[in-house]
Amino acid sequence: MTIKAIFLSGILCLLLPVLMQAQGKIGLDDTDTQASVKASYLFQFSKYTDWPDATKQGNFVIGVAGNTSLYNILVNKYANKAIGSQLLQIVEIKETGSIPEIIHILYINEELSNDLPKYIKALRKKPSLVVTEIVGAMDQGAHINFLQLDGIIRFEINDTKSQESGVSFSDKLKGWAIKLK
Amino acid sequence: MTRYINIAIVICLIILSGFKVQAQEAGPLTQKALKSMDSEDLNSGDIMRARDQILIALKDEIESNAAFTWHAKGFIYKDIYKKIDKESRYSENREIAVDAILRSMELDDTGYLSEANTKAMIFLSLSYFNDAVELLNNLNEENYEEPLKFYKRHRQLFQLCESDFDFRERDTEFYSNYGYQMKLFSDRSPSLKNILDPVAIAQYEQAVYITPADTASNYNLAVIHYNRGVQKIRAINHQTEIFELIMIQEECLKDFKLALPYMIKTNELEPKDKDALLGLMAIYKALNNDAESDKYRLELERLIKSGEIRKK
Repeated sequence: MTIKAIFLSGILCLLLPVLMQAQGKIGLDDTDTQASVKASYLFQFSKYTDWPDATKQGNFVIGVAGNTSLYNILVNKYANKAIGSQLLQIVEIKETGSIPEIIHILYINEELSNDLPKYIKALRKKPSLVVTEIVGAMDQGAHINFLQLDGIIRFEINDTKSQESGVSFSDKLKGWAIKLK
Repeated sequence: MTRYINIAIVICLIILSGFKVQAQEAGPLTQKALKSMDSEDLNSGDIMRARDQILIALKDEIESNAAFTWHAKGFIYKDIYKKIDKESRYSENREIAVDAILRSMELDDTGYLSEANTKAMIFLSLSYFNDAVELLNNLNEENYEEPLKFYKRHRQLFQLCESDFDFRERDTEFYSNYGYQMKLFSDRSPSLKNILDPVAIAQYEQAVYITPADTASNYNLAVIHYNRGVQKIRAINHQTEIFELIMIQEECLKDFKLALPYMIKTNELEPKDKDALLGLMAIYKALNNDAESDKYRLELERLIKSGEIRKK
């Protein structure tokens, strides 16, 4: 080996380990992106919908059935925020029997699509907004249904059904919907 | 660490002997300068005296046209950089040493100084590399663009000595590490994130451009893009209106789409890498493509069940 060659190999031995020590994997942010967006929508729905006067006392209640991640985000980010003169309360709904007497919005997750008729029935005579992300849910009695448009979460509105339930959507909210029934 | 220090000492001795072995070729003024350097107990006064003498030698018509005079100047200025400037990365004397060695190379028609000049230039080139690495490990608001400058200088000088050297591996490693350190720095500086993240991305893009199969760079590049999108979603709060929510999603979609090909590539390179599978699950979910996200979730579950990858 020539002196030059010894020198060159020396450089590699001397320096490359310095760089190798710095290698590492950057941590993936584990935020549930879909749930975060849906949580924000649910909060906004409460601002652009009008409920009967009888439900404007006590807390403003949003129930979440079947999506723990969404429930946690709502609790951590939006609980106790003001909706008009009411404070927002988030409740986790495990079954139809645990639905509170007054519930302003009930979100039903996709995985509970088979139970949707039960939830709709339980809320039939209540001024409650049923929000789902289930194909065909509007025909079954849901008021708002999340759907995806070009990779973006949007929503469709069943205005006829909401009037039957005694809740009314603002024109602004209807304007943001991609489908209005 | 001790091993590397020993190697460094050996290298320095080799370089030193490389410089000194040519002393008999020097003109009288240059010899005088080198004599000032030939002290057992070399101090800064000796070195500065040598510098003044070599500058006198370079005013001489004959000696100023001799390759060795310039080589000696390079040697002296290299010592000023090392012993007086304490290897400061901003030492102007190092650049003077580089210019002197370059001049010596130009004048060395017979090539008798070729090996000595090469060693000297490699040493100087190496010092720039060391500075680049040191900067990488100590990035701050003032210096975060500097590593590239020093690395490029290292590369430029090294190439003068080893024109056939294949830099791909070294370049990839440098850019990949620069990207990683920039990302760490960006995470430490939330207010500068929008400035620093693109710098980190640019380094990783350079790394995967040079080595498309570099797994770490592909993965980290995907994660940076993905996390940037998620960061925008995390910023959503009770004041975010629906029209803003739609716009934010559109913005995020761009980040997630940028992340996807790099994570797919990582998965192709390392099909059993748990992080890449988790990454694909997350990206597809963020793109609201649950079917694809589930596909990778099932693959991950299969690999865990078969024992091909560990759960934790």
